[in-house]
Amino acid sequence: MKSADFIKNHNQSSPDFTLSLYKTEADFAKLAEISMAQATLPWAFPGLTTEEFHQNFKNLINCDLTRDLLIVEEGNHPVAYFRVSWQDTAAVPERLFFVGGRMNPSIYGKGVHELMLNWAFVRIHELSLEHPTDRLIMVNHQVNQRDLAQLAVVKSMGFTPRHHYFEMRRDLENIPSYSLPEGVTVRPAFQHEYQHVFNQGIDAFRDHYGFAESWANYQEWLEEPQFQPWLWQLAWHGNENIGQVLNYIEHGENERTNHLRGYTENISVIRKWRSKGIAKALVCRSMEMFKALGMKEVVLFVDASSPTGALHLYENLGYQVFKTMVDYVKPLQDEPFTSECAACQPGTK
Amino acid sequence: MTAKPLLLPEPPEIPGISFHNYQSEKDLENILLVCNRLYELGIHEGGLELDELKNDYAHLNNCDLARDFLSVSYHNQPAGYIRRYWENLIAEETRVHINILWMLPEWMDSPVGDYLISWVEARASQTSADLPPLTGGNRIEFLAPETDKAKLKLLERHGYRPLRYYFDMSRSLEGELPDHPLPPGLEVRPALSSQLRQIWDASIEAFKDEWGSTELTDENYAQFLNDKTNHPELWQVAWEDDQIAGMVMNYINLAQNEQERRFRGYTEGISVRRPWRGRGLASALICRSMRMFKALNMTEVALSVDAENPSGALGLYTRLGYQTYLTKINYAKNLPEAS
Repeated sequence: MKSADFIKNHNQSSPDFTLSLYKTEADFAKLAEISMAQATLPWAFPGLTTEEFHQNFKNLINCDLTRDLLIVEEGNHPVAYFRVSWQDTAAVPERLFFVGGRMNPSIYGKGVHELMLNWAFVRIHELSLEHPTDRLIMVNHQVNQRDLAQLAVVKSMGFTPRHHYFEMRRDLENIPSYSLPEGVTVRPAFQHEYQHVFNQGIDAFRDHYGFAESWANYQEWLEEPQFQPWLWQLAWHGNENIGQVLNYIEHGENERTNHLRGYTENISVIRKWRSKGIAKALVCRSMEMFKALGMKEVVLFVDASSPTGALHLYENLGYQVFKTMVDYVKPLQDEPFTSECAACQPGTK
Repeated sequence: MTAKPLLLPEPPEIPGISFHNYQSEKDLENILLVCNRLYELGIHEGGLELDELKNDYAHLNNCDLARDFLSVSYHNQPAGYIRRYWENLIAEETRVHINILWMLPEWMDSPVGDYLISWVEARASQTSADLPPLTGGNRIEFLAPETDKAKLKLLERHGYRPLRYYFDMSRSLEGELPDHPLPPGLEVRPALSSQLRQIWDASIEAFKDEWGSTELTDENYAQFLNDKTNHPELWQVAWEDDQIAGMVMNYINLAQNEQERRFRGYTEGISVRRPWRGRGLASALICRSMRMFKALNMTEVALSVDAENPSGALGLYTRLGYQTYLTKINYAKNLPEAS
């Protein structure tokens, strides 16, 4: 079955919820409305504005919004959206198809989540015929661990948990201080060094789950709103950037959520300088910096199974988990309708 | 009865030299080329970027680019430019005609410079003839760094005299930093996006007491909002409940730091509103700004000050350790009254 037929068949059955694909940038307002509704849940991610969707969806990789973004409406009222994209990464042997979106809590328990996942399977099947691969096709759907309704849905549909991510937070009282190894200095980067800083960060993250070479787009990175080089804390050995915390502030989010939050994010140290306390020292300097800017808390995201032991480090520095996201996965070949499809079986080409 | 039209002077015939009015953004690229050349000669402070020029030129006050801009080329290579606009002073019944003039020194103190001066003076006369007369008349002004010797000579030759001095000052962030507590009852809070207009308005109100201040418009606000060196998270804004008491609008010019190979933060836009003056608020906010820039790994801070600022700003900055590294001179001349 094709995605277009799935949508047509569904809409012809006079359902409570109608499906449509993203058409124009005017649809970003719908996504914003949905995300703001979901953000009323105390543990959900903050809502995004139309402008922020515009920004976030500007440089997508392996995702054609007009075919890969599904919007669900109840009457003329947008209530949920789902987006599909894919990546081949060095860190895992499968082709990962990421599916996910946001839902107005008012539609929980009404079958919309299941409906969107079923559309996603059909769309992923279609995509895997368009972009053949020898890799096993794995559907990856991230769910907030406190979203019990969503968890029940993914479990009932045969997904299993694979990876945990934590969002961690710390207030800015009692900030520890650590010195850097002999010969290591801290200074900002000059503009001509931004590309070098970018390359060092990409290289350090290469051994992470979900890393894709397609992240490495320097020009797009320069245009991201989170690109705030005046807030970076960088460690140098001579003129080599060996460690970094690429701090940023989400102004819109702080305004809407009444937080004074700084993100101590993109923390990395190049391999040969690891285990020398560089990340620890840079994170503490970042906390001091955000405190000097009048912020009240710092937040970071961490892969719970990070190969560098990052979780343990952040816990030692006083960060506490306040949000857990779980990657649930399911091989596409487990979907009954793909059983006859050679493209969905790994290693058949 | 119609007044005799005021004519503009004829351009001089100088081999290789041509003049033209503003045509396109290409002129802004040429400004950048001239200013970068002057930077290499130690005359311009550097750090100018095309985006900044585009933003400035998109939000001009009392400036008709088609008639108030003249560029100079030598064999089709940019050699200089002049742009003029006018403002009414708040404190005096005087209109000032402000000229921005940058030109390679070989053409500045020459018939090319003479022509630009006579051209802007004629344009100032034309403009003022169309505007209501003010009791304080019209004044023509140029700002020149002391390092731009050719411009100083040109202006002196045309009867301009120093009217006001500005000091560019800097201070190292190495070693001990001064510390002054906030006056009781005041609190510093990060600037929220929804507060930018309120903060801007408070700053404008405080700056009305400065010498030479003029009414600012929504164009100025739009220019300010779009200025990419504008980083509200770096501002130190002091509040008493929901009232703004004073602020330092700190910023970093990344392009200038790149060009100069230094890590400088600007402790600029320092203002205290009248009810909160005389209590050490400016000192406290500047000291906080220094610490903040140090936490951002900057190695120096800098600002500009009107040397005769009646609030004693120069003395304050000197006590906080700032030292003058460049003097800029406001050269002025009164526009002869039209008969």
